[in-house]
Amino acid sequence: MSQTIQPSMSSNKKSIFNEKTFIIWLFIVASSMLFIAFSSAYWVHKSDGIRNNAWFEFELPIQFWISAIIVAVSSIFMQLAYKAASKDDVYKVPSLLTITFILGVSFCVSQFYAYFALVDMGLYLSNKEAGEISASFVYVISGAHLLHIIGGLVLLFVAIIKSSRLEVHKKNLVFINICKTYWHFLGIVWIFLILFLYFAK
Amino acid sequence: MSTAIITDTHTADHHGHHEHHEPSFIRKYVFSTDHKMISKQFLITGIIMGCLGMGMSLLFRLQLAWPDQSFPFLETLLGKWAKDGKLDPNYYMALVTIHGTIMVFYVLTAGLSGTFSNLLIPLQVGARDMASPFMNMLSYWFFFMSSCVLMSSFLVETGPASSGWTVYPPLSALSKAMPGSGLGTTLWLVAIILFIVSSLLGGINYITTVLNMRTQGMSMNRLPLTIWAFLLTAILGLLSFPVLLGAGLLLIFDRSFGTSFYLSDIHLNGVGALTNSGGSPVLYQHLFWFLGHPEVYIILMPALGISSEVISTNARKPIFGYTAMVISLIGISFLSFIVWGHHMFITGMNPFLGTMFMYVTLIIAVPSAVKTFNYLATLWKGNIRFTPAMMFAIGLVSLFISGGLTGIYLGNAALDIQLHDSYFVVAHFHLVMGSASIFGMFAGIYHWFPKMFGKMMNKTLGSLHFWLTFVSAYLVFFPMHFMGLAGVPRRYYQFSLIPEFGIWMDVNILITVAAILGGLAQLLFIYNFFNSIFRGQKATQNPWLSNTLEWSTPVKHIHGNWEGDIPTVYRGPHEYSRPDRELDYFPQYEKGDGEPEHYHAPSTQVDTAFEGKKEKASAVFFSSFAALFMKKA
Repeated sequence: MSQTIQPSMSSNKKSIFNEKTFIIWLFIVASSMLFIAFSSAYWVHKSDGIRNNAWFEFELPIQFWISAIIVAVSSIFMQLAYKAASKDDVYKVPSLLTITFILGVSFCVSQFYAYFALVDMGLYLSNKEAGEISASFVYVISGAHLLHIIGGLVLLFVAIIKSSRLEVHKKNLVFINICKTYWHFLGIVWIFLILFLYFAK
Repeated sequence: MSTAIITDTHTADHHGHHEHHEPSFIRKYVFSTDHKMISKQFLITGIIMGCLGMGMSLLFRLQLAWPDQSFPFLETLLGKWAKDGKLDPNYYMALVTIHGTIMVFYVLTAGLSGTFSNLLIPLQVGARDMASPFMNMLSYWFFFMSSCVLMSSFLVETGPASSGWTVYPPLSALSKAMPGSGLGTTLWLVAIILFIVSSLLGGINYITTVLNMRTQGMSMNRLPLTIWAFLLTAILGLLSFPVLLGAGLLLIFDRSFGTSFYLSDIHLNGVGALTNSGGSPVLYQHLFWFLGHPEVYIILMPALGISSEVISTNARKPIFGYTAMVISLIGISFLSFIVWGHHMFITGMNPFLGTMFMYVTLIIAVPSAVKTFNYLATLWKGNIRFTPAMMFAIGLVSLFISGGLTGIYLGNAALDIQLHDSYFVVAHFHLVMGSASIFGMFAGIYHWFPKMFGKMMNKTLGSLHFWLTFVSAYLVFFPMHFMGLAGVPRRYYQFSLIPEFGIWMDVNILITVAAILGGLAQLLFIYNFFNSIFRGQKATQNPWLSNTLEWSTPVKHIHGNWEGDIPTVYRGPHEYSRPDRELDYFPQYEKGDGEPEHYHAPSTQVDTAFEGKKEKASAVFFSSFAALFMKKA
């Protein structure tokens, strides 16, 4: 009697977890390594700085916290957009994505206000005192995240256009799934970073 | 293990549809999205970069062998960098730096992994192409741009980067530290960032293709060892290259934006005391070697995968201990991430930390030894065919043993105090990483040349190429062990100025003569390679009587790889000399008696009213906001 080769999990899940979605997960892994590298460098520097009595502690500007709230709320709208698309409630998708997009832009604006606040505190990207490297790290780490957010906004913009053309529905969820995955990742990373910078200051 | 079943969306009809459209010259040969063409692009660019990198090594070997002699051709070739035919010390450092960079990244990472991952992953797992052919094309062009940017640094007035291939600060962070620290280093950094983008685009594609696009029956335990090696290499690159990117970005900030991540308390000759304070160059070393050590395996593992395939095919025997080979590769991959500190034993790290790094480093000997013994056991009583590919694969095993053994010495924190930055290190990594991987690359080229170009390479020239390369590799790098043990430091410009090292002058001459011999041997290869492309004997579909899936494709390349359906896989890749078979091989795609039938995955139909529906996008966009506040009809 002939046997049959059993299908794998990946083939069963293929409709929602295809190659493109997998690619974005791998990109997320690579990006995470970049932020892990920066966080580790910060931690190592802090240990050195404290040992040499050259580590400057400062309160993070309130705008960074506001950014965290904005990105968290934007993640909720992103999820609602995905849910609407998966339920074929396609006419709601463009507006929900647009709200997410606007919140993303607001996040960028809030980050720039945070940089202005840092400058007002006399903390610049380049350091005058040894201990002020802590501020340099804040600029670089948040700047790297900001670049990722800008990439996310480009994805969102494309998703808005696609959804306005009725190309995002329950049979075609790949792109919005990619957007959702990446956007949630960006939110989680920022919340991790802000908590890291707060507790490791 | 589970078997990935893919729905062949690229059906025969679809394939036939493509065949009607012959792509333009630009799309076919330049901006190609076909993985087979991209693999050729990687290979030929890698060969060109290899020639340049090797040429640089010959130039600085001349300086080391005959430091007081004038070579007028050098002045013709290099102009102001070799006044009166004598190499400028700064330019010597630049040559050493760019030689290392080219060989590590451009030849043995992109040239080796880029070529064979691209060629073999879709063909051996049974896929029409990579998961994202467009990303694949981008990967090559980022690599190409990166190569151009790096080489353009030779056209800069102050010369290329010259702080060593590791580009340690402060030499690399201060643009006035030495001539090469200026624009040359900036170009080096830009080139490496482009290279990292290329590697990540490629790596993401390789992993996705292997894990998601295998043909029916191609379970993970039926993957050829080449694919296991490429998969793990891509994972290593994915996890480690972003860290180098982070290190490079911080270096750029230090160079251009006045930060002090790696700088502190520096007095620069002619400039005075710098204002940078609080930084640490050791931080860069940590970040760099977090990539740097996995990079060793990013270079070596594809060569090990290739040699596994070549040795099994040409010994006409199953690879000894397939599962052990896979577990060893996984073990090496894991360990490679926790041993970076052995490059930094003398940076003043805590001895307890150094001990930890020492132990995990020495543990790598275990999976490495498993691989070595399995190669030898595969060869044992095999019906060996000494093709050039097989000779290079066996050469790899030899170099892997010779170079690997000295790794045990260098991994020892106490011994490393004496051996660090000496010629012992140069000998070690050139044998185990450089030569072994180059041998793996040659094995791959000779073995898969018929698949790439539909022609056979000349066997006699190939054999001659092997013996000359093998002998010269040992003559060049083996004596360096003794120099290193005697304390001769690497990267020095002129040993004749140091009386203690005068006794090594004859050895330096021997090494340089052997290096020139090795260089000349590569001309044989270049001739054989290009001559065979145009005038080689026509290849048959499966010239090595191999089992793997790539040999089931037509000799002439077609878009989509297979006419009609992708073959189903019925067994592992190394079933050679089975006693129940008349032939001494049993292809993976050949259905035997009592083999399982095809499995057809049930289709999961999802219905939607919106598929293909057209409405004005602006109307949908604006009505969408109203829809938020209205109940669904």
